[in-house]
Amino acid sequence: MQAIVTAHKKVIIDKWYQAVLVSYPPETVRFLRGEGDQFANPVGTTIYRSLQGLVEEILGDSKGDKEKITTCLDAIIRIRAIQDFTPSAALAFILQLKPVVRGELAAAIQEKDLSLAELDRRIDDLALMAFDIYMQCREQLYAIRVKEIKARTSRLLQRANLSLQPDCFSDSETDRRQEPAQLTPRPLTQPGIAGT
Amino acid sequence: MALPKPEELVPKSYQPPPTDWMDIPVKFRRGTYLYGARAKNLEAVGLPNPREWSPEDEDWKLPANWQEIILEGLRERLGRFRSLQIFMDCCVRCGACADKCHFFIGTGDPKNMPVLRAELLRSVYRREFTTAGKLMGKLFGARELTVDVLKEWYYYFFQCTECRRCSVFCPFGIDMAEITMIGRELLNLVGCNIDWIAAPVANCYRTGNHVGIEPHAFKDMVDFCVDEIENITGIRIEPSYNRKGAEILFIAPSGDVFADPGIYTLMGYMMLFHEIGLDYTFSTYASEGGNFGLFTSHEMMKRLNAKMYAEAKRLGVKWILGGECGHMWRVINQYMDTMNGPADFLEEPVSPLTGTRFTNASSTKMVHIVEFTADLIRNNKIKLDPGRNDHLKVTFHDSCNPARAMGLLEEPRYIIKNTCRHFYEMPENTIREQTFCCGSGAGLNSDEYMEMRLRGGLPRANAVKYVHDKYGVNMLACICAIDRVVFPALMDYWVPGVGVTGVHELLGNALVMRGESLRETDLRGEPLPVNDGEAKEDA
Repeated sequence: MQAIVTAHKKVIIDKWYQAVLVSYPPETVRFLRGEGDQFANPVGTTIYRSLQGLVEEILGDSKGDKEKITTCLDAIIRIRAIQDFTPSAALAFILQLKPVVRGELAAAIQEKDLSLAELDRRIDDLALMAFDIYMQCREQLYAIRVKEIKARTSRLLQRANLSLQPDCFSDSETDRRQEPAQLTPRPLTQPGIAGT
Repeated sequence: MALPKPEELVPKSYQPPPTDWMDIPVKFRRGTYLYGARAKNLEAVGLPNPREWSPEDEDWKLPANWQEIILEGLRERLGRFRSLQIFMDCCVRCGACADKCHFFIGTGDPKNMPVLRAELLRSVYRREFTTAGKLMGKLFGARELTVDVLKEWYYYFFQCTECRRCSVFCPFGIDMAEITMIGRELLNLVGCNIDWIAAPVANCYRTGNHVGIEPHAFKDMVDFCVDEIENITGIRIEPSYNRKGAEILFIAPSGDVFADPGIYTLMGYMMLFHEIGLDYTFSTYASEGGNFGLFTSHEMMKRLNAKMYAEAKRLGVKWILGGECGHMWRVINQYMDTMNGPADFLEEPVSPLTGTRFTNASSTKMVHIVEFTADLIRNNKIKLDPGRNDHLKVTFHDSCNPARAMGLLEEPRYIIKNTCRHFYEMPENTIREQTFCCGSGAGLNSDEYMEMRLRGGLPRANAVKYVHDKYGVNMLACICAIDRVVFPALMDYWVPGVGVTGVHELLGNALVMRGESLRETDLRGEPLPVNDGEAKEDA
């Protein structure tokens, strides 16, 4: 099995990449596929690189390094979670690996009577991991928005010695540490400006 | 019912659209559009068609003759701006700009290709102002101005940050920012601005700054920084406000006075001015360097900008020094002199410390602070201890407007290299003239737009991630107040572990002040690194 997969790896990655690209408009696909510079084309190169990493881990002989898989999945999903996709459209690419592998290895599977059960199980696991990562990204999006709104008014509230949010309501320890707590509040003074 | 196959889960709408781009209507989904301007904010400055509305509404409550208003507005502008007429006629659709826009790269939406964004306006121009367009219609790329077209303008002209990266690559020099500006002007004629621009404009008109802060509160925030500087350095700074007869009027973006982390940059400015004994004053009326009028109309930009010269005249200063801001400098460098100038009542700026004449500002009489500070360092007028920034590995984001609208590329780097010992450039095609926008400029930095901002900011964040992974960069320096406000969110999502700073915050930390006590923390109250560095020799 390993030898067969290794021989077809490059083609599998390319076909999988193509399947992901179909979700973008055709003008965009030309750019995503054609531009190889990772800074000019961060979406295309990140997706390709990460699919490559996933194929190495999923189709490789080892059981797959969870950390590496998470890194690769995160890189793709972090982008697609904030692009104009529904959740299912953003994550469908994982399940698309199944038909890609089946199509590419069809002859070998038939000839040698190979079972793809183990591979299917790995891809299913990947889908579940992807769901978690997608939700983390979306939750982070909302948390960042709230944090920005709070930061916008925190200085003024601090200057007025007002706090609308007791410490116990802070989102997390991390958030609390990031508050500008070092600055000492002082009372607002009355208007009294020279030269006006 | 059979379960759908995986490939069937990809909705058809994300498949290649079978229709021409002209026939794909815009969908207003929350997170990807900006709220419409509130009536009170349009009324405050006398802009037309004030009403309560939302872009999600079917009926945008447009005036009955809205098409006539817009087409007449376009006709008038084609006559007024020769550049617009040329930009409408000269594009050959070579595609050089197509993949240069950060919003196209991040969204994958072809209508964000600058060529196509311009086509949104150009198609209407062809239909109404060219014979071929009138006769051949769609065949000639012409179309009528309908409500759907207007909605498309709103969606995409407020999805362009006027960063001008695409214009760097256009062989004809077509400036997409100017097309967007005209598109927004036309939208304003029928009351279709976004509130995140309309509210700062109304505030700025009333109080002199975007936030709407009145003079006593402005003074109070600056005084707050005075206390903080004293806590950290032991030195009590005494800034003056609205002082007649000061040599220099200093104007910062209000983001540096009211927002994190800009406030530390303000501390840096004030520490520097104190150390060199600069004779300067703040104004509580010209209390904003930024100008959201630039994102509304030429007239509004002129109106809001006028306060700077009016205040300089009233106070009788010799010249104006401006803080680290982005679009503020586009207005000053490219428009102020012809809109409200020449400021003959002011003098050509000369540094009182070094005697350097800023001949580049001989007409506007306004100098960018990084030019001023770089000149001080060059002439050994200040003592710096870069060791105090040793815990930082810094990279520099060229803010679009200072980089592309005024060529301010070397000065900020010169200051950073003299205040920090660990500086790493991002890749060549993402900095200097080719810098990638933060994705939130030109009035798009509203929280309701966060999802779209993360898309637009992806190319910039991707380059930051590269130097973060490769060199351990943990601080992103910039010279724009909008950058300082929006990058923390962008970094949180794309490159956690990277902070955001103004260049003068780095300077404030490194600045060795006469009579200062031993510093234990930096301006943010974080413990200083163990300092094994030698202070730079005094002048």
